[in-house]
Amino acid sequence: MNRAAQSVCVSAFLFAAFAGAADRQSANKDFAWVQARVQEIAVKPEERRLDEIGWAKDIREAKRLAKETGRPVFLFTHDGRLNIGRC
Amino acid sequence: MRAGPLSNQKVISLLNEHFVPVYTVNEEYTDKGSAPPEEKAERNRIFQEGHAAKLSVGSVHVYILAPDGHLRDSLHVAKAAQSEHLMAMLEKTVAELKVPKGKPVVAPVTQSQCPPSPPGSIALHLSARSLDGRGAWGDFPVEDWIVLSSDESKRLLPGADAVSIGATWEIPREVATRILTHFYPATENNDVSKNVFEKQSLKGTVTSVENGVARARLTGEMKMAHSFYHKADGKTVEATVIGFIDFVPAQGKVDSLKLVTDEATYGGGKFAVGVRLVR
Repeated sequence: MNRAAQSVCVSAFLFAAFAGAADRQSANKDFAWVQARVQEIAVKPEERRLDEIGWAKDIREAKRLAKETGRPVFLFTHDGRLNIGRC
Repeated sequence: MRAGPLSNQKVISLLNEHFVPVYTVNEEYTDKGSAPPEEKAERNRIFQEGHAAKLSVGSVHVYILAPDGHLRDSLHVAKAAQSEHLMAMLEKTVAELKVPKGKPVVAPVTQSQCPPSPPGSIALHLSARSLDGRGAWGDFPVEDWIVLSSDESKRLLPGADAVSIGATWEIPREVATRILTHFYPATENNDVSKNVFEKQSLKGTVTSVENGVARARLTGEMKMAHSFYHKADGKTVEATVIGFIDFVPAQGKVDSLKLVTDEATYGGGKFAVGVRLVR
């Protein structure tokens, strides 16, 4: 076998070994792994502190409650969706 | 705002104890937006009062209304996002109006809620977070709620007669897209209609069938153009995904779905996404 052919064979062997290793790594990621990973990635309560604020539903409700309670309104207008962080 | 003042304990306490807090989504208040006309009129009134009083007015702002509903102060978000500036404004308002301390007027509840879903549909909750703070905002993870119709949820599954251990099937592209198009970390642009898939596959392989319930392993990969801001920037999401789906073949019903990124990159950084069926 000449050098070029040897080189191709070695490369093919290494590629197959690599691909096999990647498949084996992926195959080790079973149901328990996926379940744990979903939990790890999920948003935690401490990452959603705006949930600790008592938000009125809309401007009209805020106005009504303000009049009833004698409190001022804090209104934040924004683009996107603050509640899910896509903003 | 969310990562800064709205996560600051002093600001949270001030808002709960002395104010009626509310936030609005600008997209809902456009001419074609979903807010009722009376709501849009209220927001416009506030803006008009701001202009008349020569206060700062803009679409991303904090506005303070007096108890009678009229505008008394405002702050551009660039300043409001700095907790010390916002607190100064709130404390000044409390002092001037002599607002006594009290409990929240509205009981705090989780703001990210599963949307209503018609019978037969399934609701998926997605979380996405930057793993290294590179290429995307990383102050907090972001979420999406994805409701798949009854038809779409059935199309996640193989035909009932094709369910045996080892059987594989490809999830139709348009159904996989409904989920995978949300696989990106926190960016300014959240218009998924502009996402373009250069590569996408999601397939299932049945791993067990017990008491009429099948479990299949999901594997997939994607390459999707998604711009960080609202103009094309050539950035792409590249990801491999792994998951499991439990289903009742005879009924075409999905009992459980969990899907996560194995490796995912965007804008030179790494991120992770997790999806689970909630309802």
